[in-house]
Amino acid sequence: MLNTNIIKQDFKILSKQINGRDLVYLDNAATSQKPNIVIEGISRYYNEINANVHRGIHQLSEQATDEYESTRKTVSQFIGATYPKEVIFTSGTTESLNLVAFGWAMHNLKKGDVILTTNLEHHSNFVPWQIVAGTTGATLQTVALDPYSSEHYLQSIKEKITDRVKIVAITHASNVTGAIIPVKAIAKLTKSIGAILVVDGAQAIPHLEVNVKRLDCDFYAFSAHKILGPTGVGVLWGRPELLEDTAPIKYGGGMINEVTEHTTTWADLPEKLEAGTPNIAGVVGFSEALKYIKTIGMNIIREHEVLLNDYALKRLVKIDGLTIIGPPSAEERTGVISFIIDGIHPHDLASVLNSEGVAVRSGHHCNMPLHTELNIPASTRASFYLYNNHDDVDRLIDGILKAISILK
Amino acid sequence: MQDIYREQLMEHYKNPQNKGMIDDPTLQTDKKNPMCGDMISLQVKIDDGKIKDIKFNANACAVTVASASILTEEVIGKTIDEVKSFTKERLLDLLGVELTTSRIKCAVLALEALQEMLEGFSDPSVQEY
Repeated sequence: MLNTNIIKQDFKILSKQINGRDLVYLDNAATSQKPNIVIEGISRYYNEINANVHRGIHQLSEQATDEYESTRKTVSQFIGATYPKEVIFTSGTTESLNLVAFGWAMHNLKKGDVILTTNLEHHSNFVPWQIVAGTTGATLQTVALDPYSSEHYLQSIKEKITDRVKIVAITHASNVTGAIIPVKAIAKLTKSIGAILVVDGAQAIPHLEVNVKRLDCDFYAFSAHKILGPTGVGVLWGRPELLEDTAPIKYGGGMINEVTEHTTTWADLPEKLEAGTPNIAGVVGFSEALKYIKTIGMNIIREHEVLLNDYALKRLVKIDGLTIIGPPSAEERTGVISFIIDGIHPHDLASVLNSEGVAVRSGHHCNMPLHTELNIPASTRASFYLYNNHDDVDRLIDGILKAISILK
Repeated sequence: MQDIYREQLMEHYKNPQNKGMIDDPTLQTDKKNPMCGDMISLQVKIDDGKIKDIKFNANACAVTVASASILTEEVIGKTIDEVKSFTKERLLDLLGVELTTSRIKCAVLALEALQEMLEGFSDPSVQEY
């Protein structure tokens, strides 16, 4: 396992006290903490480089542009893309998925077409498709994947595949159950019928080695802030021919080729899809985050998380009245464990845990349809990352036991 | 613990007052807390411009249930105008615990539901001039 005592030192916030206790941060599926080098990178950018990109020929502007564009290259290598121009910077996964929905799907779908998605989607990979379907006359179909086992995911999707399916929009890993979806196998299915595979990678990119070429998907969306980077930066990767066919959803500066009084032509990729001044400092910070991840190694992070997950699952199942939502084994999951406890509302549990310095998430985690299906209003979610360790899990368990003693 | 789960709150959570249904309510409503999906159902019986009876049902957290229990106890016998001007601050005072911003939403769910339900209601038994 990773030496978390050393890793924790790279994150200033992790030495913080909450309610008189050392912070145990287990809300990583919502956002990860940022290592000092990311914060220093942002600070260095503002102190030494700050200028707008693609605008000036003065030295600072050139430097800002170089850093911004070299991050595009870093990202494209990180996810195994062929060219940096396949990487579009956005404000986050939500904007990335909206760009596919409203820039591509809106112009390419018609009445009778089917958009296939699942019950495990975050609202950001669900609501845009509802709107696209409503506007184009396409039908949105939701595949009911088993929340408690990942065994039959491929089969469940296969059963819904027809030649009317034009888009499959699916998460790479559920933010509620943690289940990892067999995206590569699904890509073979979509390819065989000429459909487009849109992958929400928000929960996968921090935990799994992602290679878009090997996955053979068509679009892949994710956020920087879940993989140690700053908030306000996201990525949409797309096949170049599909990005060429994607219309801008934001218009203005930086995305034009020529503007006359009545007409405008667009700039080439990637600028066409990046109107306005981007989050340059955030992108620079993101570059530092990816360097940090690469230094440790994604496979090492994954190994650490599986062991930690396994330990947590084994301890949690022993608690009376506790039900884990999601597949039983750590290997089938990213670092996410959601659960409910008989007779204890997730809000109350999260409040007691907070009083013990343990940060978890309670609520529907932006998937209301799944919670409705499970007939629960909310659940509690603990989610791990590379800096968490066995002690953190023990503090979680102690907090849960305390909550049970208070609330039951 | 700078404990929100103090005795009074837990007492109202474990033994909530006015939980249940009214047979012939004057008004009823359901309200959801969009943050967590918790729902509260409220029913009131209004007579002579006053809250004669009020009942609630909630599949919700301790803060929501306790505040609904305290609120319903408080408003019985009050006029509609008095209920409409009942402030969130007053309810939070009655709860008597320090809450964070997100938990305040739980604490005022019942009050918001009640006030929205009464919005625009005019009691036919009260002659207005």
